[in-house]
Amino acid sequence: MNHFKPDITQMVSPFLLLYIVHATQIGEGILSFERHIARIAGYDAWISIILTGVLTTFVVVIIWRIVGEEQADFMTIHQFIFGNLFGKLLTFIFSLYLFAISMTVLVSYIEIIQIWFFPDMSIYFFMFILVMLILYISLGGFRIVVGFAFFSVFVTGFLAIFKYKAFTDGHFNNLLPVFNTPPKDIILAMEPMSFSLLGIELILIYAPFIHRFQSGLKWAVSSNIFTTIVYFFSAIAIFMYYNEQHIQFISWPTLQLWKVINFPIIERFEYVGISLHMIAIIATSCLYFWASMQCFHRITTFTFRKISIFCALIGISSIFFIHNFLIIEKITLTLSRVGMVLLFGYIPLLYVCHKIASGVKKKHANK
Amino acid sequence: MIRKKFSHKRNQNKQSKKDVTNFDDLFHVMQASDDFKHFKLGNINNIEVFYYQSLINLDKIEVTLFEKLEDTKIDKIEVLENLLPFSETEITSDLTTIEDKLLTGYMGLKLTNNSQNILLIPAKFEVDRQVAQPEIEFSVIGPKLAFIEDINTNINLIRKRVKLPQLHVKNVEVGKVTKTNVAITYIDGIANQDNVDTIIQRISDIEYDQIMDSSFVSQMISDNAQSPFPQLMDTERPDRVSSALVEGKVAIVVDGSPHVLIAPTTLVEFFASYEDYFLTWPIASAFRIIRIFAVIFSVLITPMYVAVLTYHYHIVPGDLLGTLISSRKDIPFPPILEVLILELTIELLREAGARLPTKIGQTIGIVGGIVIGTAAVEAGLTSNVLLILIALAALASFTTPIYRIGNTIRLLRFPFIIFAQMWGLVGITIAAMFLVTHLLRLTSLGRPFLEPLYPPRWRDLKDAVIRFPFNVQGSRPVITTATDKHRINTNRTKLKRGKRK
Repeated sequence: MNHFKPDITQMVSPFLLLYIVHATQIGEGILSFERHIARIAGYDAWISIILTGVLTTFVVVIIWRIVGEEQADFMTIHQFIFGNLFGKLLTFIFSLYLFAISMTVLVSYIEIIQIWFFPDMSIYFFMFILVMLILYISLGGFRIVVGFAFFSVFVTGFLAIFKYKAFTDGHFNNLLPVFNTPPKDIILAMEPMSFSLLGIELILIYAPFIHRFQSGLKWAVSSNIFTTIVYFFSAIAIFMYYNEQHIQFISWPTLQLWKVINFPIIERFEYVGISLHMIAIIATSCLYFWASMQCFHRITTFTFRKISIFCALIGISSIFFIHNFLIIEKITLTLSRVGMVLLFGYIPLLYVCHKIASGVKKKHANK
Repeated sequence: MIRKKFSHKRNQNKQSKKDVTNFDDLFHVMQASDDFKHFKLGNINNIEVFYYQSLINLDKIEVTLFEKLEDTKIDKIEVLENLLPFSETEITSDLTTIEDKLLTGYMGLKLTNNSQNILLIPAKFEVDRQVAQPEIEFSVIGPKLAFIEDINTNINLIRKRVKLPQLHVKNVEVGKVTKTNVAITYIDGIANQDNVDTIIQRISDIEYDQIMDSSFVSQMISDNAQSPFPQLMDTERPDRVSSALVEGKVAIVVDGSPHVLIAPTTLVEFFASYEDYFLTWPIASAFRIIRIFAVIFSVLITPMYVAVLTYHYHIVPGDLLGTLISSRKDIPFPPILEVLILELTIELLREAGARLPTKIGQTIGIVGGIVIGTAAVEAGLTSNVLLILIALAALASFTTPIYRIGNTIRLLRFPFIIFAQMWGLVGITIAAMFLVTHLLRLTSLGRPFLEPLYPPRWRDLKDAVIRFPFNVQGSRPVITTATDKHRINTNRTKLKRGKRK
């Protein structure tokens, strides 16, 4: 296998996986995922969160197996298994998916800002500034992207504290009795939930950028568990606070919850909350953007800088086509399906293929 | 093309220097200046004396030279050297040495036989101010000494505190015309040799004609010269420099500058006053936290005012909103204009106060602060709530111990104000994100500027936001990658248990 080795100044310590994985997973989803899972599984949806958490943990372990001791990344593995041309094609499709997520996350957050802050804002200029920011972060290299993600985790952690209101004002009885929904629905609710836990597939891209990658498994797993816990408590909070039917009519239950909080100098916390949560959005979008650019950069001969600027322009122009709430919902739904197939279908398949391919090649090498 | 031109010029320069082939030519060049004096001495007038009057201590000539040489007959310059009671004399015929020495306060003596040998006698005219109290980094407790303009005095102040033969001083001459002496100081065996080499390399590579102050060097060798943030710390306190040297950093002393540069440095160090080490650690930590809070407050408060009063008045609770509205009800401007006018006024006051002599500066402060402030509110041009906020923000920006970063912080809030006007609180967040990214991308001598926050190095947090007591500061900062990582034997700092006192 022809290995890709990044510059040592761009590599980060395995401990930071704790932050990277968490920052990729927490995005726009945390504000609205309760609605999606409660639609299918009702108040018992918290069980699906735990189940999804367990499943994604397995995926993380599989990813570690795929990457292996040699710290091979997605592109290397693809070309190793499927040959040069077909491998590159697969990587290209994958990076298109990453790029789409990166832009969708941004656009869907702009939606929130339009609804809560400025209904008649010029989104083109706003999008332009945001993409410039993402470009500025990404061009700094992986270390800067991770640094930004690192700080964003503290912001989301700070914001998570403000779910306390639901625990003081809510009714725990809402959740009882447990197992009120048929198990099939609980399983089905894992599909929208897995979109919220997407982000671990990026490990395949940035694996070579991590020092002593193999020792990072514990950090990645604990990060995944931590994210699951955050989602779990968030869902419990919302379920305690809202009626099961009511949740379906609220687009962003968390924002509605923040409305209730007031301090001597802040009357409506959701304004502060939305502004601060944007940091998490940018971190997620930026990690996806960087990963996508890294894929493009690896399969073509363009420099990282050129391809990033080119794709940023495409990203800005994408907003001309996505201007409707329904379109955003549709794209999100499609991407979540693709992501689920990728996580639970493609990555295990890739693992099996990798095993077979390396076995065959070893046999040939011995002959 | 340009490079070609330059190299051509350089060749010309060399040629013009080559024209001076013997001492007489040099003598002619120097004679053109009126403060270049020369006369003949001795019984038979065979000793020629020449010097730059402005560089020479005239007492030395009058007292010693005339007395000794009044009636002597000397025909060999070596005899003359032995006769004169000066140390550090030198006999040479090398033209560049003669030129350099004459221009740094030496006197030249020559016999009128045809010999090219010249005796150089040091007679430097030393004039410099006395070592005085620090003015920018003043501290109530602790030593009250500051660097002055003379490089030797400055190194002396450092050496007095670090009594080690391993304290190395490497001299580099910078500046094509000014030929400024720059001393790179470090402790061999503690400082990382890579850092030292990088600094020496960067300083010797400086291509500029004049180096008037250490800030020239600082701008030319910092990693990102376009950044508003200083990436090398400049200080006027010898204790701070000595302490940095012991931590494994490298100090750059520039002749003619009362500020010494320290590298590598991090952002949090700019908010650490050296006085923090003179106070007990809980108090020192509290002051540090106040300072960091002050900086954040100073940058964010006026943008918040603009954002909240332009877009998000829902955020303000009812009672507070009443106060705000009553103070703003007669103001004819939108919040952004109001803020910009007042911010500009404060900046004007600061700039005027800094440029004027102390006494007039005080008057200006009173006139500006009290008269203009009150009048502006009474005239109904600005609200008094904003006046309080702006004054507090200005005050907060002056709490930074290093003056240079204070400037950065004061200017930083203008982009924030613009973003706040565009998109309210979201705009402020965007501006903050740009700022954080910029800080993340900054490096000081190739080391991350935001360390120990990012990359997270828990061991360096012991002296970042909170200054922990001395007995836990067992290792040198990771950022310096010191050759000798351990400061003290931490086993011996532990309290002995089970012993009664």
